[in-house]
Amino acid sequence: MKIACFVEAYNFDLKSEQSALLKFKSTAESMGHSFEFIFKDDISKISDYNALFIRATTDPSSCAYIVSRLAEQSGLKVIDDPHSIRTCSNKVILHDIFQKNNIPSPGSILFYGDYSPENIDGIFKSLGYPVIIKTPYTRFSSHVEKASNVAEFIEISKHLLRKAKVLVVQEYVQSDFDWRVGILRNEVIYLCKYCIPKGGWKVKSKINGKNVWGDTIAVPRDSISPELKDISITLSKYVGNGLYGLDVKETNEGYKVIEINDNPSIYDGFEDVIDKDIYEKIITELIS
Amino acid sequence: MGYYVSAHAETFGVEVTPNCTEIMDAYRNPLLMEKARRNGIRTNEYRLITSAKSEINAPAVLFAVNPFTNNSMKVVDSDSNLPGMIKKMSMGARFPVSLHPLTGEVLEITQMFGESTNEETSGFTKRFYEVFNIPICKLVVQIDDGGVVLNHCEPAMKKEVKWDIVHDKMREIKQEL
Ligand SMILES: Nc1ncnc2c1ncn2[C@@H]1O[C@H](COP(=O)(O)OP(=O)(O)O)[C@@H](O)[C@H]1O
Repeated sequence: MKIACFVEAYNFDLKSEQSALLKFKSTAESMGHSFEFIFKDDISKISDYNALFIRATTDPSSCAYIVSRLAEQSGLKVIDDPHSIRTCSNKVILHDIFQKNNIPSPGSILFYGDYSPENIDGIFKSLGYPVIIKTPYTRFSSHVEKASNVAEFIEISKHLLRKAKVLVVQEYVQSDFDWRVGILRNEVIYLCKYCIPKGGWKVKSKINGKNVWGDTIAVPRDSISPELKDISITLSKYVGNGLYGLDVKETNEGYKVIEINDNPSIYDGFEDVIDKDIYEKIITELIS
Repeated sequence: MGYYVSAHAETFGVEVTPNCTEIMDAYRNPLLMEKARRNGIRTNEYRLITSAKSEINAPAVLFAVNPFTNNSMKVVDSDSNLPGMIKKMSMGARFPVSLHPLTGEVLEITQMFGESTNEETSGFTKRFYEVFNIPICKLVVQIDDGGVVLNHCEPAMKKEVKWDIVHDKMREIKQEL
């Protein structure tokens, strides 16, 4: 089988990511398949392959979406498929999916810019203080902000509404780490804790003006609690049967899902430290 | 906002037209070309590029392949202008540019429920609407000896739409329901 891996130059910037990409390649080759990195200029040749694995950042406005959809139309097996990209990259669509399917998640309200006192009052009455404000499309925590009071809410939301027509406003859920549940074809393939750096509240936080990432602690997938597993698999089924990474907070009132990502990070020495067969499982899925 | 309405409705199991896939298939140039080709709508041999290559020649019609752009068409007449234009439209090789050969007269028309703002192309817009299911959009086409060739589709601006045609069509659709 011929597998194409769609990447962009930045996928090779970090040693750990580059090394993971090379592990995908060597795993595929050891299983008797070819594995070629393809770039933006190669998109039109996608029908020459049997399967497509996307590692470049995906969102519906990206080249990754185009290559994903072209590959799907040409009958290739695709990870990430266009439907998963459209769903996961949009926090408004996720908000809808969580509500419709009763997925345990932080209290959440869509905000279109109605600054009437009743509306603002209503938001804080139902969500409490502080609140988290997000634009529909965010990536690596950009455009995810915290507002502690009404004045901050107005300032931040006005700023974000210049970039988006609608915002997601959420109850703030405190935690020291996010569970990251790696799912493939509705099965858990890895589990990690993405820790929140001291002094921050996001996995990637700005502390004293500098971007700081929290540690990643891999945990055996078999040690996942039945409840977390059940929530994760239920949610992944509502999105599709691709490769996903869920972010979930553990609280005294149970688990709360923050989001489900397509295109989850897989870096050598991070997600793959304990369950080392991630590479093989993904290649097997691509050629199936 | 149309995209969100479709997305929201789809999540709640309501059938919507156009759906999200249809919207994206029409407004991203390579996806438009593929779908047209599969459905027997004439297209040019387009190419996706991020920088000029020796085998690429003017005259050509170029479209930016970044999201939901309006008025992204550029006609380039001479080879020497190609590299600069490609660089600009690809935003420094960040997004591909879709390059189509110039083979006929370039026309911009508005398609409204299968009707065209230009009579010569009304058969074409009817077929376009059947295939793509987009109620109102702007189309870039070329007219050559063989007829109409599809090059591009983008959201129409209010002033480009003939609203009397739209209202007539809406009335017809209501009566059919
Ligand atoms: N409601 C919330 N309460 C507390 N922290 C949150 C909340 N929503 C998001 N976060 C944190 O903000 C960070 C980024 O949020 P997320 O929604 O995952 O956006 P992105 O897609 O940009 O990663 C994560 O570390 C997440 O834990």
